[in-house]
Order: sequence, then structure tokens, then C-alpha cells
Amino acid sequence: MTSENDPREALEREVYWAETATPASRANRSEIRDLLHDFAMQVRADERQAVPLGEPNIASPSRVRRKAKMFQFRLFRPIRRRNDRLTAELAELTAVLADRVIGLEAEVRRLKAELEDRS
Amino acid sequence: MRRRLVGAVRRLYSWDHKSDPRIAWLSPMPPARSGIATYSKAVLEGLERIEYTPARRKIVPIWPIKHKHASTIPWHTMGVYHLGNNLEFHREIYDHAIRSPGLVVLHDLALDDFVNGMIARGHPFGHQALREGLMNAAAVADLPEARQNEPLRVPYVAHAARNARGIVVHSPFVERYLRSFGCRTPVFVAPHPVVERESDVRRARKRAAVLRGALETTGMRTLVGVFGDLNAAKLIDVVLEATARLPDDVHLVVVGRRIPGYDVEPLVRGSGLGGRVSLHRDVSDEDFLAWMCAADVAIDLRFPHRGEVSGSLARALQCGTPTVVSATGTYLDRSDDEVVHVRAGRLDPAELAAALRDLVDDPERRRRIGEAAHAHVAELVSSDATSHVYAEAIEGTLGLLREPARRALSRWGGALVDLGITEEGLEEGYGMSYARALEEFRPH
Repeated sequence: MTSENDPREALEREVYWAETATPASRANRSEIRDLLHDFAMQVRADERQAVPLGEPNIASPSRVRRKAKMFQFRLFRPIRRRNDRLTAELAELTAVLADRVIGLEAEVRRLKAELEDRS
Repeated sequence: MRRRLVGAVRRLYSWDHKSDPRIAWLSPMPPARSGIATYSKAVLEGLERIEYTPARRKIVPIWPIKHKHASTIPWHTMGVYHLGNNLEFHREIYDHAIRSPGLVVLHDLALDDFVNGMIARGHPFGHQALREGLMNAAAVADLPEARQNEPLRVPYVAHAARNARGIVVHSPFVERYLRSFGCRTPVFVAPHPVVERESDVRRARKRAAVLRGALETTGMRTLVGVFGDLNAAKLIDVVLEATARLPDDVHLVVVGRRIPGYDVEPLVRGSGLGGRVSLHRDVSDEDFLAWMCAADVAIDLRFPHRGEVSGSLARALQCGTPTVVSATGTYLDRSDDEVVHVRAGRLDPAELAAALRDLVDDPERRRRIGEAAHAHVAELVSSDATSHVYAEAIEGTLGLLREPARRALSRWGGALVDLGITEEGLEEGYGMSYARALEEFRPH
């Protein structure tokens, strides 16, 4: 193994791993747009599947319990599929809105600069 | 008594609190038509040979990955995820590698086709991988391999690397590449395992004499071969042109697996070599090895290079067949005593022909290179180096995932990121006192 294990290295590594998911509270405009886009993709992918992939809440190491959960999930699947579709549409609309906000901010910056030039 | 009863009832109904103590090994396994399947089998056999049981936990291969596994894999103590550039084999594995971080084995460094395939199929991780790759593209721009080979210019692998808690690679070059874009995940360099049994190689050598005999009746004295997946990166057109420049008693044999989207047959027919070239597609493993033993020289060129370690080269070394390889990336890890390096990139046929002519005219040199290659493989077999590195990687990652002090540090790191602390902040010492205090709880 090549990495060292001193506290500094270990903390840097943890920060590197934690940076995977940008917290929404700290995300800038384009990151928010990306997060919304990812979310929409996720819900769209879920919509196409009978059971969402890698969802631990619809899982159990016990076969009987797993089957029971799957049955319960599939029983209500038609309703959930509609919800998935609506949620994805909402997320996509919000991502478009985030796009527009980025555009508007750029426009405001340009206008401000123009105003400063005039004065 | 009442408390015990409540506890028992709660345990009975707490559906999801029993984790699976085994280690999930997510990889294509034989008979899957992938070199990774053979590799994976060889590694598991090696671990068995050195009697490695990670903290008395069983390693359970999961293949093919079925829907029921989607819900059980996250409950394993740890996952070992084998990633390659093939969407068909690795899509589900990638998904689990991101959702349940564990030990990732990188078989291909360039995941361009894989990531583009994910995006095309609307897979949620496709765009994330693309973004992370593009974000890190500038960091790898200085690497000569990235400048030369287009698939290495965007490190799509960055997303998987960040979401892994340990990475196994097969070459120091891959580690350098990962470090170049700031990957901080522990990396373990495990040499490519010896995939063929010595008894199978002995059998192949016997059969090689029969295969050669048939060609010798047509005037062949030296046999040159291209082996492995038949794709454009092997520069088969260049090899055909180079062979045409060699004496008539030098024959070429092309043996390997058909790859969708690339047809080698028109190239062979249009080469003008006639009876001097023979093509054998989708042959059995036994025939593949026999042809490799029959060849006097193997050619394993790559352009573009995708950072992979060639399974065909590993077999050629084991057979003791001197091999001509491109001087790039992972191929540079082999010394000039064990292989013959030729210029990287799209080679001029005349250059290749010159390198081949040197070998054809010098049987003593061929013997020397072949023996050095075989000795290298024998050393790998006797030391069980691959298995020991895997054991170290599994042990290290398992320790990292289970160590309480590290879990606390992980929460601390997450909190620092939430507060907006970046690497510059860490350099100034933010959050270090807690990290140092936690160090005292670590086992030394």
C-alpha cells in the first residue's frame, strides 16, 4: 500500500472521500443544477425498474423477509411509478429553473458592469 | 425479564439489522466471455492456496448478478468490485461499488466506453462519472500517456476511485495515473496473476508441435502471432504490413476472440500474404494456449493504450514466447530482458518489421528473452505475490471500514466538508487536533 497513515494523511483522505457529495447547503448554482439533474436521472431510472437497484430499505438478508418486502413494494408499484414520474418531472423543471438562474445572474453581472462603465 | 422479552421481540421484528459476515466478490466468473473471469478465478484460487481467510470471513463470488443480489450485497461485510470498460459485464458492479464503498479492482483505466454507455442508457451515475472526469482532465494533461492516448485524457475512473475505500491495480503506471489527479484512496499494486496451470502449458507445448508441423509443410520456418481480443487497438493492420516485409518463410497467425464492431477478416484477405497468414477466431482456451506456445514471437501492440494490463502478455510470458510490445503505460513495467519494446503510438510497419527481423534472425536472443519471461512468471508462482497483495488489500480495506476511530474521523471529515474546509484549510491545520487525538485510539 502506498498511502501513509499519519493523522494528516488520514484526515485529508476522509475529506477527499466526503467531498463526493457536495452538501446542498454549500453548493453553488451550477452544482445545484447538477444535483437536481442527478436526482432527476435517479428517479427516472427508478421509474423504469420494478424494484430500485441497491435500495437497502427494500432488502433483507433473510429470504422470507426480502420476498415479503418485494411483494409489498410491487403491490403498490403502479402508484409509486406515477409518483416517480411526477417527481422526476418536477426535478427536471427545477433543474431548468436553476439553468435560467445561472443565465440571469450572468446577465445581471454584465448589466452591472455596463452601468459602472457608464458612471 | 420484561426488558429481555422486549429485546427479543424487537430483534424478531427488526428486519434489517443482521449483516452478512461474508465478503462479496463481484466479478465476471467463468464461463463469462471476459478475460476478467479467468483472472478472477485465478486470484480466488491463489487466495485459497495461501490459505487466506480474511478475519475468518468467507469470500463469496457473486456472478451473474441477479436482481435479488441488489438487496443483499450492501449487507455484506465488504464488497470487492471488479471494474472494466465493458458495460455488459460491469454495469451492476459499478452501481454497487458506488453505493456500498469497498475494495475496487481496476482492470481498465480508461472507462470512456463504459461511462458513455451509462449516459446513453440513462444510468444515474453516468453523468456523475463524466463530470468528475472532466473536472480532473487538466490534472492528467501533463502525463505523456494521456497526451499520446486519447482514452486516457479524461480520467472517467476518478468517480469510482473517490468512492472506493481501497483500489487494487496491476501496474505502478496505473497508480501514478490515479495519484496524478489527486486520488487519495489507498492503492495496492498486485501483479497480474499467473492464469494458466503449468500442466496446461505443458499440454499446450505438446500440441504446439502438431500445429507447427502443419504449417512447416507449407514452408514456414518462423511463426509470428497476434493473440487476444481482435480489436483495432492491437494494430493488426500494421502487423500484417510488417509481415509482408519479412522473408517468405515467416508466417503470421492471428488468434483471438471476435469483438463486435471490428472485423479482422477483410484486413487479412486484403493483406496479400495469402497462405502466410492464418486467422483463428473464438478458439478454445486449449487451442489459444497451444498457438501461443507454437509461435516463435508474439506481438502485443496497443494504440490507443487504455491503461490495461494485457492478459495475453501474461500468458505469453508464461509460455516463454518472446513478445514485442508498445513502449507505453503498463507495458513499460516489463523490463527489456523480458519483452521487446517498440515505439509507442501508431507504429510504422517498417519499424515493426525491423524489430521483428532482429528477432527472426537471432534465435539465441529469442531464447534468452523467452527464458527471462518464463523465469519472471516462475518467480510470481513461487512467491504467490498476487495473492499476498490481495490479502493485504482486503485486510487493509476491511480494517479501514471497521475501525471505530476511522469511523469517527470519517464523520469529522464530513463535518469539515460541510463547513467548507478544503485542502488549503487542512494545510493551515483546521481540524487537525481532533484527528491527532483520535490517533491515540488507533491500534498500533
